[in-house]
Amino acid sequence: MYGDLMSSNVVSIKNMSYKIRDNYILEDITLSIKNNDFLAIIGPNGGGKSTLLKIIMGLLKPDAGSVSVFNTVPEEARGKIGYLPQITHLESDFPINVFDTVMMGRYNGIFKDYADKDEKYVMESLEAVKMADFKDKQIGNLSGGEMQRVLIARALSRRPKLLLLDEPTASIDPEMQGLFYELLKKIRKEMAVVLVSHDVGVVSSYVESIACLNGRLFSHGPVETAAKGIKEAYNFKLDLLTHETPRRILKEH
Amino acid sequence: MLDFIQYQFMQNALISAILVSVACGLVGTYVVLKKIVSISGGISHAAFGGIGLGYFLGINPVITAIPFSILSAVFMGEISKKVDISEDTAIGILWSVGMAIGIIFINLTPGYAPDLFSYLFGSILTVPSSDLLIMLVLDIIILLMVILFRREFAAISFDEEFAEALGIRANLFYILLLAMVALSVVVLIKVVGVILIIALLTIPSAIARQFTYNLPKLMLLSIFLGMILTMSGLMLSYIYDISSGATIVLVLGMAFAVVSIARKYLFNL
Repeated sequence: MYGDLMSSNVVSIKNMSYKIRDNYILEDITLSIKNNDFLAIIGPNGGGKSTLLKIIMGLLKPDAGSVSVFNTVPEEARGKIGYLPQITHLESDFPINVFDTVMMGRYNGIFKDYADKDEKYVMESLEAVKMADFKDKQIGNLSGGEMQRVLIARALSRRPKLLLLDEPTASIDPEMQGLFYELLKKIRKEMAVVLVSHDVGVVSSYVESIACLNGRLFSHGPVETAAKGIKEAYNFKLDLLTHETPRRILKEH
Repeated sequence: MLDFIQYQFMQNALISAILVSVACGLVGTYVVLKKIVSISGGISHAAFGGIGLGYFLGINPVITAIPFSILSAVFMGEISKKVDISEDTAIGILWSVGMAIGIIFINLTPGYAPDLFSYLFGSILTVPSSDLLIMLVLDIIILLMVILFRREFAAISFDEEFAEALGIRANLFYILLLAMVALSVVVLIKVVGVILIIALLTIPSAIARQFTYNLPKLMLLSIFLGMILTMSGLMLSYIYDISSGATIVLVLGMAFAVVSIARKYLFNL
């Protein structure tokens, strides 16, 4: 119907609002994500970043506006989406090893057993995050950073076309962070990547475009121009965010 | 020494110990892992309403307890999400209202309610063969559900949000899990009674969990521990002529304490 105009969009959100009781969590969001985009959604805690990811996956229903993912409703598109939830939601003492955790990403419906192909994908994903040697290890014995890598492998094992990462750097140790972004650079050739973070400095040097979200979308575009919206999104509290290790957000002109 | 084995009631007691352990090992593992101990306690107490209904209608209370406890499980899973109350509050309401319904039904039933106490506190030595058959059928249903839906149950217990992102209907499988708790409550009702059921649904798996990190092994070990400990409790209650349900629960509790302390102080695990 919309022809080529629509088909290049992985996600297209139009005038979407989401509220809990009478409070708007997200208001009048219009956003499109294209093939091979590498987008960071940044904003303060409680700004609706995780909520937006959940709406893209169809886990939450918007109150107004439209959301289409791979030109269909979000629920239908789940098979093409890899998701990294916030690590805090997880039962880390659950009796499961690394391999089986990543295998969960290959889930394909009731009564459908895992095949050899699934095992192959699981091992490839573990190798991508350099955790293949840990495959028989219990997840309870992993460090926060190792666990995070396993969960990224779980998201990748779905062979997604869209990767949604919720605070991916939250528990990764500083020396891992570089490695992590190298990995993202590599995999983004095969899929669109959207990552959510409250840490402005970390993401800015790696991603291609930034969306600033605090209830409403303040700006959206390439890093240099969109960074102007950060101040608005954070209500001019930018100094608060960067006072520890001042980082340059904008490249020199 | 083993001459008591020849008694029919003792054979039935040993068979029911085995059937009970299967339900506990399978369902109890999920109860412990998914941390639904208090909701399971609520379902087991609410099942007393079904027992009362059985007395009132003049049919085997174990049979009427099946739909009643499943309904209360569905109520727990569904209503607490639809109506704006916390699950904690819903448990409190279900727990007491279920028992109250049971008491009223028994009040309305003319005459004296025989072996009412066995449904409250359990009586493994008086399990009739007909109840063994019901327990066996329920065990088979539980086992089939665990085998068929093992991936879904594991996914929602481990990471509910990710499970939903995979397209698993987390709420539906949560209700199925609670329905399985309801079925195991019915299996356990005659042996330990509604008040003590929660001990059997938690302790064997809580002990087994300290020894393995593999879900199927955890279930098998829980079943095995359940059998050993229930039978030990049964023997002690027979020898000392004390209440069997309470003895079994105390044996389980002691075993848990001994294993946990030994692990911590002797083996430093």
